Amino acid sequence: MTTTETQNAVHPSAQGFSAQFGKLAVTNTPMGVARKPALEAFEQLGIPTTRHEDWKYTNVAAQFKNEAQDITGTDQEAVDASELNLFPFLKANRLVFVNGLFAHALSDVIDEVEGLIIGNLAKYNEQSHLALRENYNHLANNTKEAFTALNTAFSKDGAFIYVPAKVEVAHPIIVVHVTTDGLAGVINSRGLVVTGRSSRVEIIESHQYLGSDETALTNQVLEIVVGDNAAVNYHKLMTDLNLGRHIGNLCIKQGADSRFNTYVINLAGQLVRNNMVVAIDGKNSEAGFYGLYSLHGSAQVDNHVTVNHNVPNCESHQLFKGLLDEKSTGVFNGRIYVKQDAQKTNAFQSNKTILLSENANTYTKPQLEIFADDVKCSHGATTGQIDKNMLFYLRARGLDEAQSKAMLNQAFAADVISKITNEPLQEWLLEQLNLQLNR
Amino acid sequence: MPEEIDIIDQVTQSDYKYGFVTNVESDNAKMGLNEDTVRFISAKKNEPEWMLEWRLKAFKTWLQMTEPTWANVHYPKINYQDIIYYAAPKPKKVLNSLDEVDPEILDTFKKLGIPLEEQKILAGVAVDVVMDSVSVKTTYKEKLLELGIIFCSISDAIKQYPDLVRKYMGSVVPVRDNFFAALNSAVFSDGSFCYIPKGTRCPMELSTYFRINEANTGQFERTLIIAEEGSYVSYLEGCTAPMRDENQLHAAIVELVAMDDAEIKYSTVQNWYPGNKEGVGGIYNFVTKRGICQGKNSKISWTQVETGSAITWKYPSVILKGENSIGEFYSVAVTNNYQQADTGTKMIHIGKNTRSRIVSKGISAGKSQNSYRGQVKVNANAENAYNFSQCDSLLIGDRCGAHTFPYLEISNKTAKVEHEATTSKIGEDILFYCNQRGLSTETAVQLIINGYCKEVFQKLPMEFAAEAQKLLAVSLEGSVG
Repeated sequence: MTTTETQNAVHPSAQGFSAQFGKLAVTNTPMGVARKPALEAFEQLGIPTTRHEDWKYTNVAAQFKNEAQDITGTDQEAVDASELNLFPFLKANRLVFVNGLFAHALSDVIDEVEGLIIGNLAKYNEQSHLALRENYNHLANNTKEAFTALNTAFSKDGAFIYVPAKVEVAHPIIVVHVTTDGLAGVINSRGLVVTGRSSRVEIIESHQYLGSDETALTNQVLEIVVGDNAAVNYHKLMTDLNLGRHIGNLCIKQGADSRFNTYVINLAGQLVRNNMVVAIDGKNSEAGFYGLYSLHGSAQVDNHVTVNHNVPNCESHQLFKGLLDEKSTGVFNGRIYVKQDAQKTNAFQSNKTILLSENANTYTKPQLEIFADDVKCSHGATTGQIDKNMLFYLRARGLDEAQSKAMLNQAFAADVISKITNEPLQEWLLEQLNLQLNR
Repeated sequence: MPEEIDIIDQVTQSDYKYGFVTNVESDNAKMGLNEDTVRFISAKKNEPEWMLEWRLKAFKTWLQMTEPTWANVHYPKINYQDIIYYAAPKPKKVLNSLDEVDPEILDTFKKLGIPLEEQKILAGVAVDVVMDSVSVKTTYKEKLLELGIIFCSISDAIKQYPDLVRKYMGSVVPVRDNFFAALNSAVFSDGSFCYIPKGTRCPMELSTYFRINEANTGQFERTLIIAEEGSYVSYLEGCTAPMRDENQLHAAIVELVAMDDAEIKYSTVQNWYPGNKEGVGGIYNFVTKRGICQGKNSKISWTQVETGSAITWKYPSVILKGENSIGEFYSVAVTNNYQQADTGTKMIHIGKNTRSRIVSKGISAGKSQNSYRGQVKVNANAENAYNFSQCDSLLIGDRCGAHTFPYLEISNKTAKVEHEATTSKIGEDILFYCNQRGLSTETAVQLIINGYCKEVFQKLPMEFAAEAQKLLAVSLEGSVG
């Protein structure tokens, strides 16, 4: 932008949100002070169109035609616990958020260790908690990512998890984001996870849409800081999304000797975009990204993973698998970036897709950008259909065609689910997958 | 390893071996680009009215377009008014034998190690020499004509075979295709035209040596090859250029058309001046190469060895329209010093049972950046399309970069697409193994790199394979992992 005129102009697609901003109470808290600059960044960026390289295959602008307004926190009336999937088979801590605000009555924290926080951002933001003050909005890229900027400007609440040094959280933390039916607009929800040195935590996040018709679009930003020698497992489950539309921005920073794994499972949803960016800033660390999307109808799932290898001796793995039926679309864009100094990096990436229907589409863009020479980096991508020989083998053993196909598809998908270390969760997901494939 | 540093120094300090200037007087166009320049070029070449119209239309299109910025290359903005768009060696009388060719030009080719007289005798290679945009000499033309094969400069073709040229020119790479294609369409100076009639197998490798010679002249080549039903042709293109300080712009277009059962094999060895070791000078190579497999069972195969140019922007592509057609792309791209290459291919599957294969080997050394950018697109109607892609990158030295940007867009469930890419350096264990058996590190690296590129070299015609290996040795002499 060359002239001050264009610099000050608000992008047309941002005007609806801009007008709303005045009504927000901007307080002098970590969340409050971040709002105004983020709004300004968003006003510059506007909602990206398909002309934007990162949004080439996902027409998100079309979703905002009539819904360019923030509705975070509306419609808080009691959501009945029976409507939700609270993973009763797991002994766990539970945090529930309804339309972007914390629902105290539905939540339950069982692990109580000194210093450990399993709570909501709004509360600790008021107290200006040290870990929150030091980390909130530090990883999120407000200047480049329009939806992150929008979120920073408008989000009110979300999970805040602080694990002090040397604490191993005994039970998983389940975070449920509920979106109620019949809404129009954007719900912005936020999250922050800070883990200290040598800590350990498992997070299971589930996005649930009540009602089967299209309702609000959710826009989430989650920042995760992984301390030195810490281990974090993060699951993002979109099994109860119905026809929900979701944009997720996950930003991770890893310290030395740390382990971070993320599992993204999509068995439902109308339009889902997951941006995942990890900065590996400490030596001898490992990052893993595992994704499965099994889609039908006109659903579209778009996974964007960026792994930034900034230091030597680290390893990263990406495995994304897709089963695309009917008119569904799968998009995968993986980027491995190896800095000049990040010698001895091992980075691997794989995207495999099976197209089950004539009308399904897959777009894959696996990228490598390597500036160091002593590295081992590879990526692979395949697209195909069910192997006829395998199908014949199963048919010859008395299974009908549908059963055989479901079995082969399940075997294909189970590859990703089997990476999940939480066994009851793994079993439950296999069951869900089975139900979906045999629907 | 101190030895490594020595060898890296050697590589980074070795100068461009083929840099020299031939003193042939030029008949140049005025610097800059406007309608008059286009008219000047057209008039110089005695072109018919329709060609001028076509050029002017392209020029108007170009004015509306903007230079693309998506490629992973960086260079100062080109001033398109600061370029001479046409330079031709002084017109000579009709040439009957080699003696009549300007001795300076012959000398140039001797320095390149490609003596024309030897070429004539050697292995049946017909050479259409393009020296600064105008064909100076065409050999074997008569012999080819007996078979009905037309092999001449595009300017001659415009005059002699206007129907063919009008039918096919711009049919594969439309004027609007991209900024550089529009530019070329407006100001192209010369190039080759080749027409293989039905059922004919071209008995020899057709070859053209391009050579940029006049300072400040962009060279805008245009090549059109048409292979009729059941025909076969193998076309070779090779390039070297003299040393220059200013960047020279090169925006060529190559169009290939293959009808039913026809096969076109297009091989390139490109060794233009890459700039000196500080990254000053060098050729900007912005090329649009595309072939269309128009007919059933047709095949187009691109093979390229890219070692030169300061900046390469080149994506030889195949549109697989005919049923059962095959597209192939084999590439070795070497960058050294401050060279930047953004190259790859596009395979567009439209017809049923179409197959494509991509093998790309990138080698980056010094402070260079080497990118592979490719697209595989399978349309909804392309039943049983198959693609296999392999993109490997080799890094030599810790200040260079290797990048891969593949786009896979699949809309048909019967499609089978496989893509794999690796990036690594030459393993210390492999070097150790060679050292242990008495090979110096330098020889070992050469051996390993030759092995690494073998799959591509094997696809080159014999004459080129030898030159390619020589070029690789020059570009990466004594390289080290």
